[in-house]
Amino acid sequence: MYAIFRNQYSDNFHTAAHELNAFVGALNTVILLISSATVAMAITAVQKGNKSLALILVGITLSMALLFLINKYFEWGHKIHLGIYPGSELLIKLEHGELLFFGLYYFMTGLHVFHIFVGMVILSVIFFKIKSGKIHATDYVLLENGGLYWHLVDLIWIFLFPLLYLIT
Amino acid sequence: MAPGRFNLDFLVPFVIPNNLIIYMDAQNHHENHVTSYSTLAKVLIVLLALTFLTITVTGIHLGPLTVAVALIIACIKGGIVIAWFMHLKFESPIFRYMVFGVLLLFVLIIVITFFDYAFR
Repeated sequence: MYAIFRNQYSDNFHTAAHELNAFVGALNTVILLISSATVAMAITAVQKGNKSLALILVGITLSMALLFLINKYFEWGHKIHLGIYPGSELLIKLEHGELLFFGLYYFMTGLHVFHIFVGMVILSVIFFKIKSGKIHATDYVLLENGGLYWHLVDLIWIFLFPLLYLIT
Repeated sequence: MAPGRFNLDFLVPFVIPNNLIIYMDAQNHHENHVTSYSTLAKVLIVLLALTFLTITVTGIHLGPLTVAVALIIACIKGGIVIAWFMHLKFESPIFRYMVFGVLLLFVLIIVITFFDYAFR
């Protein structure tokens, strides 16, 4: 759907994308990449039997996720302050393509944020299971799967970032 | 899976060939690959460098090329994440084919959507 609209309203998409703050987007990319690396390192730590390091690494991943959400909160907050939010009067007056862009922007980033929430719940469960010793060097499938999920969330953002923020 | 198939006191169906069982067993041992911290750190640095590159490149006005370049870099980054962070590099080729198949399906869906749009 993004591809079609982008093809159809190329110019509008360019103007609208200018509204997005590429710096905040880039910051969130960096945050997610680091969080992805730390969860991968946590698997290594558990495999080597280093429980405390694994807990620290999953902890870093969780705080990175929280940081991402805080960034997103301010980003959306700023947009809403400017009057750009789904159903706003300003948005209806904009060009059709720009309207579509912001619709897709809110939908795509919103769905992504929902995935971050789910990931945080999964990683929190994993955190406590490592703590209680249920996840250890010989049984870490849950951590591996949680990690895979988190990498997927990161992977989606890797594509969303250039498509929404950098296409100016 | 029945790794000790020959010592089992019940019959394993003949449909599963011996070499496949040995193969699957080998894969089980293969799973325990440990990626070192330094490798993961290097992967992270490469990913961050590519992020920086994509921001710089899209900052220059290349016209329609911008999107292409941004997407190519995103694909490279995605590939790196799948290969190292998601361990695909260290898994059996079967998984590689499966991931490739899913990606192909995804591309097909986008292409078909365009066809649908073009003939409306």
